[in-house]
Amino acid sequence: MLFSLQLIESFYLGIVPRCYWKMGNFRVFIKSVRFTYRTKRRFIVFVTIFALTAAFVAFFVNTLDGYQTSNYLDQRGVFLLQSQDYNVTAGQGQALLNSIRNLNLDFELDDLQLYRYFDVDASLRIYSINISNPWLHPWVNPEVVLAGSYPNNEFEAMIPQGDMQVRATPNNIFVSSTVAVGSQFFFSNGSLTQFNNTDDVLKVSVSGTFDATNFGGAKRDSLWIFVDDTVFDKLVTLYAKNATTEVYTYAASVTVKTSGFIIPDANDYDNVAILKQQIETQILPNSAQYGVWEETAQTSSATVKKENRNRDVTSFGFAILGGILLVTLFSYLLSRFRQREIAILKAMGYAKSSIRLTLIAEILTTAMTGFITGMIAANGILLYLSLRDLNIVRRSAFLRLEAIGASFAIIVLVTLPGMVLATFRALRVSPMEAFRDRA
Amino acid sequence: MSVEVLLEAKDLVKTYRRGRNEVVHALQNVSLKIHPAEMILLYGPSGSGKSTLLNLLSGLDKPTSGEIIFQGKHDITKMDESELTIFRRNEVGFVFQSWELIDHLNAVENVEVPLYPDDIDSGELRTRALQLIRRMDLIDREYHFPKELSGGEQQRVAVARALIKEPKIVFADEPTGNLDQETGDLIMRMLKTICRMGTAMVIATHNEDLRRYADRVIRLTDGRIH
Repeated sequence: MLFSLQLIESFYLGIVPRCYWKMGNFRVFIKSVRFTYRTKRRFIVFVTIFALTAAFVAFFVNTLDGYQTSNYLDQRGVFLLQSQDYNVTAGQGQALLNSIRNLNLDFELDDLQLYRYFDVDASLRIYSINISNPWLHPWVNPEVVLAGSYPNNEFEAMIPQGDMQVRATPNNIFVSSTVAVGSQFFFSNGSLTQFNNTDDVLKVSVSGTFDATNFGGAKRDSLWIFVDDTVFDKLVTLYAKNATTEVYTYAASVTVKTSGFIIPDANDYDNVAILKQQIETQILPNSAQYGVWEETAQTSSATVKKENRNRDVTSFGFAILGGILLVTLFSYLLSRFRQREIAILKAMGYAKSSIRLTLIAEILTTAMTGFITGMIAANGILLYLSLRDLNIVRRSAFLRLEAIGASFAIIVLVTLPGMVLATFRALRVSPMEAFRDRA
Repeated sequence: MSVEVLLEAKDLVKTYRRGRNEVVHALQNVSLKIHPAEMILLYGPSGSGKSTLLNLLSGLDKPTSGEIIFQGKHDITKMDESELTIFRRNEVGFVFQSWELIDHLNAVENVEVPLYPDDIDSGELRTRALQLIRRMDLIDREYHFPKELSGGEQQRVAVARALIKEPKIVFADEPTGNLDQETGDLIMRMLKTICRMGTAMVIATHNEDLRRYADRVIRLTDGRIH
């Protein structure tokens, strides 16, 4: 106990300027921290400001990686498409991904996703997507939804735009005559009578339609349903398809891990270029092993870099502007709220250093409480979203360390100038004028 | 009463501007002497310069011209801000009309506040504060917050706060201004008792009834002593 007190004392004496090396000032600091929690309305206002800032930053940073637009793949990876003249089996597709995973690269890969399909019969084709990571698919993602919404859970599906009717309905599928948002599919490999027993069927409803121009558009001659990987695997089993020879791969996505903080930078894009080049030279030529693939046209390097630069400048601009606004608001409010107290302390002979300490204690206390509250709130939101299976959350129901770190850094960056401004303003308070204003 | 002069004001003048052209003469050639254990009443109507004089004598404001000599040696009008801070901290206590207690501190903490920055043991500080609070007849009210106290009780806490550093002089600006007659009398009797124990009191008021408590009444009108 004594040792830890000595440690605290030596830490305190080590970081605090000599003018503060007094038991009295230490008491002023500790008391101010304690009293901060009692200021109720003031405390709640400031903690709310800090908590909102912290939660916003953390949530933004945390979801930035997952909540991307269709440019995601342009910036982070490669989208490969099977040749239209050649069916690539799921086995070949898996071999392709394994080989890419085993490439000798100086950087790490992030996501490797295989998109598959199989025909139930001539009238029905099932495609796989990954609803927990929708931005890895440039053509079937939330951005291309035309009606309804992107699937929120595995029992929801997407279909291409345009009224479709199932022309042939063998015993294994039953649909309403016109398929649209809200239609339900009852999958079963048994007889129609089994539909009466809901335990025997797999129900999937259509949550949205999308623009299928890239998927052949009007050339479709069967109904296509895009379901999550998990349901896709169940359907493969249900219809007793051989998973490596009767199931095919139509596309694959591979992304590189960002070397920077969160947002891909120029180095990441260079890594993407290296990855593409390695895939082109080492993997795609081995057609027998992996099937025949085509690379999709991607945005040019210059465009991506320009977009990144614009985004960085804009984000930085907003961060600076937001920071200045927040700091000004904070320092104004604090000195305004505390004007009378500072006047009282000055009248009682408090030195500037002691008054400064009371302010620092209050700002640090509110900032840290706000930060912790914000983190809890942001985590709560993430948890809620993940429990609701909303796609904003990509991987985890909890904040990543980078997001917490970024939030902490922003809070510190905002707090420091706010502290300086607030103390500067507060120390100019004249007791006489403060009391006169109040009277 | 000792003949030694505690605080002496010489030819104090205070003018300030109101608007662009108007010059207000808040105080004009005011001179006075304050002795230890003396209760002085600065009496006059609103705008007569009482509060201005109080602020100058206590070092909260600076005069346009004139001197304020403390204990025959130190001219507080020549002190810089840090010296004035030390002067206020060690020699002066304040009692305000609106009490000016800190809302989120209880009674005993409000009394302790002036001594927080001093190198004094926390236990001893609490003991001193509690003794003062009890002297002010605030038994069982020590841990109540200002909002839970009546006006008279708040003012007694404010008096205790002014006394905790054992100042040589206490300045009170309309200390009974927000109190009823009975409570006002109670406060004044307390101040008088404290004064008898050696602390000088300078009380600014426009309440004529308080004259009976004063050792000396200084009447101010239009910034001049009459």
